[in-house]
Amino acid sequence: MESEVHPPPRLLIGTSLLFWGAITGNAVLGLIAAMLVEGANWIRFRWEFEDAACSRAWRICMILMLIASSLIWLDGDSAARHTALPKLIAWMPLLLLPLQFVQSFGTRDRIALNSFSFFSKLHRKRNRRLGLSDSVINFNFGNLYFIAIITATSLGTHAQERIFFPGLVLLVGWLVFSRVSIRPLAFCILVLTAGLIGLGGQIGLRKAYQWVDNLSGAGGYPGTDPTVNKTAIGSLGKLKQSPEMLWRIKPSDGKTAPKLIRLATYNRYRGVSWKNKLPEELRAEENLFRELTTIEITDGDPYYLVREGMVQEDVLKELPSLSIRGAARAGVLLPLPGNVATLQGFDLDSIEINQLGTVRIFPKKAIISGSVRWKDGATPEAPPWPEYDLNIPKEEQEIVQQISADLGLSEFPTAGSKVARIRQWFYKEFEYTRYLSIRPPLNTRPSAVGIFLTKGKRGHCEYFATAATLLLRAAGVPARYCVGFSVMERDYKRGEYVIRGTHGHAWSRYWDGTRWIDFDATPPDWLAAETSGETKSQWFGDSYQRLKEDFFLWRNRPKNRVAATIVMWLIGLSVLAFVVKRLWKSKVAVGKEKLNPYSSAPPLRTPLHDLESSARSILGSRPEGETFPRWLARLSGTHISGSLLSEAISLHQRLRFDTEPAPPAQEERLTSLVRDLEKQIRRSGTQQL
Amino acid sequence: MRETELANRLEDAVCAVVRGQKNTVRRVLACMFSGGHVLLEDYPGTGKTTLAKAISKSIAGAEFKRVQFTPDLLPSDILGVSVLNARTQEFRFHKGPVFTDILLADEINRASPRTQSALLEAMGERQVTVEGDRYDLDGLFFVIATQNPVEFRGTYPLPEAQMDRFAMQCRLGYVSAEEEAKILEDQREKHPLKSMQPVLSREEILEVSAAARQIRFSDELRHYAVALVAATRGVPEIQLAASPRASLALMKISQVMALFEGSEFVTPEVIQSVAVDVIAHRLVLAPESRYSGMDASEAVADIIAKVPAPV
Repeated sequence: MESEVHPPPRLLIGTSLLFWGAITGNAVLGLIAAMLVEGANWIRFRWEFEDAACSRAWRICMILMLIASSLIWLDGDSAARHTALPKLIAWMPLLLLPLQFVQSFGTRDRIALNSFSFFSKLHRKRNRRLGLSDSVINFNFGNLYFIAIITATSLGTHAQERIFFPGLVLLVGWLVFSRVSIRPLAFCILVLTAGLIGLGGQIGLRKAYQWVDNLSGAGGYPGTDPTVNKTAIGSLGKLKQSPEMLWRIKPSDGKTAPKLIRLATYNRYRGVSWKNKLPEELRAEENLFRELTTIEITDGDPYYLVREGMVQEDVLKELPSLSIRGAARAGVLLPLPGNVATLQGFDLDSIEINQLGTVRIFPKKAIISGSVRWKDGATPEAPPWPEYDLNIPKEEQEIVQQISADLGLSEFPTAGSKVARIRQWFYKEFEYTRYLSIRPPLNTRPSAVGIFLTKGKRGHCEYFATAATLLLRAAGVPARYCVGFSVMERDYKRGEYVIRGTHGHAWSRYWDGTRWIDFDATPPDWLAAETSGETKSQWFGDSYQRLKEDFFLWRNRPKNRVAATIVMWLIGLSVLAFVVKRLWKSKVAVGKEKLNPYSSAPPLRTPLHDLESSARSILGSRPEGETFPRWLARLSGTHISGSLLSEAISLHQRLRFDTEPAPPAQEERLTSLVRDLEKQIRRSGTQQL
Repeated sequence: MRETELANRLEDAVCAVVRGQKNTVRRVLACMFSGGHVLLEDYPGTGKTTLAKAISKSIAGAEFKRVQFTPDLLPSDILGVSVLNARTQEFRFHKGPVFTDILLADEINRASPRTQSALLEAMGERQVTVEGDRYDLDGLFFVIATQNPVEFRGTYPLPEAQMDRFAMQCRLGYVSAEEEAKILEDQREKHPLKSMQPVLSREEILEVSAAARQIRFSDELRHYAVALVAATRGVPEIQLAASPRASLALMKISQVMALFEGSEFVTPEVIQSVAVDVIAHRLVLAPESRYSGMDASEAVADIIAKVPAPV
């Protein structure tokens, strides 16, 4: 009526759970789960779980998955959406534990596949009512659970370590070995071969991945890397940027916000990349970044000083400020106004700045929020180094010098007036576009920037910023190249500004003799080109992100966090208590029944029972309904002599089931018979090998 | 043991006539020795009637009667009828064929349920009540009923209560070609039934029955038998489960089967070997399992495989 199902071998699931715990770093949880699942081997009570119980367990699993998903969602930043599914899968061993519990502690060794689908259950009910036959697929959940554990383990944080692969091979080998009848030595060789092939494949795959990764080059939005910024200068086609909301800025007065907020600054242009190059004496320092110093004025969060001694402590509080909020990962660059003076209120592990004024943060949480104060005339970066900040690459030199001369830049007395001239020239004669159709020549002369300056006169902000920086340098003004965002989208309702990927911008920064000043050479009509109408999906995405960030910050406030933790623990514990109480009531003791279901006395043992373990090695375990002699009889003829066995069996039955006591001679005879049989079994066993 | 020898002698005698059915013959005889009744169900021509006749012929001094069940058979045709004696102006009870040692109820499912039910009291309680008067039946009262499978035309399925009164239901089945050839050889001149001689006396049958009741049946096995029967209850596939009558029959028949093998005690193997025949016919499967092609024997075999056997 029902086909046989194969549960995984004893202790395999427990071992896999321990392995999962070790690899994913949840050793305690792994141990608890392993004890719960494998405890079924020693605990002597069970539950008569019906199909309904399986469905219920499945529902509990689904609820757990939902809770886990929302927790992962709440903890993640915007980049976490790519890692959310692997994270969820890595928790599967715990999320599926209720089903495995039903399997381990149920009296049945199988679960109907229908339990997992509402419609399938309806269909089955209808079939039963109409008396139609329906085929139910039954399976042992342990196997599926094992696969889930292995999958989850492979996504663990320590899965890259050496121990992982041999562990995986051992566990899978264990499962396979319990299913196939094969000599152990041959099996070991097979497993070893398969393992080596798998290892080779893995190494090959990693090499291939690295190769492809090198080939495609580094990606990311501009400014991710504080040492190098590969521009799109010279590339054809349309620049693509994400309209995703990255940061939100709220000025303290609701209106005044800096026009540009900077992520990173670079000072050396080579090829089409801007790089960060320091003079020899500074380069010797191993770490290009240094920690910011903090200062505590009154009670409250300490202030991070961008540059020591730049502002007086007593005026700190009067400075204009803005609050900035957004998702951040470790090592991300913080967008800040060019004249930033202090930072306050960020929940950070550390905050660092480099010589060019690029600020890098290591946040404690995925969403950060804090306030920034700035001051006119403040400059976070070091004064210029002429050998770099006046440097023009060789291939650009000719054209840049020529244009500088045409514009008569050297005749203007101050850096400010030179800037004004360049701005005027760019605004008048150049056009902003993100679509580039002029192909730069394959040789480097004239370069892409050269074409932009002389022939094309159209391009995107990277062209303008690069060209302006080089022109200023040609005119003797130390200049650098900055990337960051243009603050342009104002949300009047909330009194804040929104920074999106499409607001990414590049501009120059020049030294006027005392400080660094931002200079945006891009014609202002680019703003119009960028701010296309807001779409419905954009609105939805923004609201979603706003809600998520605000909730995240609300939850992380210490007071709220304690309350939320207490509430969650209370709910969790009361649900657990409810389930445990209901389970406790409905449990069935099987302990005594296991020993001897039909009598309160301990089962009688005869010498024949000693054959059980050696017979099991050939026959596998005895089906419950099969009597011991019938089971042994399967060996007769092939492994042991039939006549000896039948004599032994009749003696066994006499000793075991006759209520009249047997003469002691019979037991002695049986003992000697069993000894002979044992020898025969062992001999046939070695012959088989 | 003398009783084992007697039982085997009877078995051999019957087997000499009913070829190739040793297994079934032993079960039918076990029913008789245990004091139960047997229902033989199989296709026409498989030797059901011959088996019944052979048993009756092998027992000396045993009265044998047969009733051919037909759709127009009435209860009084089996139990008996009171007739007015014109001379004495009194009613006198004429005993029907039920008053005998061995009753062959041939093709029992051809009669109407009303007539089938007339046998109920006689089989269950070894007594007959007609018009308020009670008549006891003899010590050896053994009903061998035969029937064609219910799917055949012109039959009435036996009511569940009636089925439960049969200790066992056996199938004869077709014999092997070789055995069938021997049957032809046997009957070339005349039917071997004709030349059958009694091998056992009526008293000896009762003696074997008494000995079978002395076969030791351990407490543990009693619980095992009960567990097998109890496993039919509370299962969605089975609409009507087996009654305690089933476990009782299982014990008694196992005892006789052990006696046949010359054993003085019952083993779990013996219980397992007869459990399907003792339990299956009492079950009524739920429609959905019936339509999904399951039959009661399979359900019982499944139960045997599942209920842990004493080791």
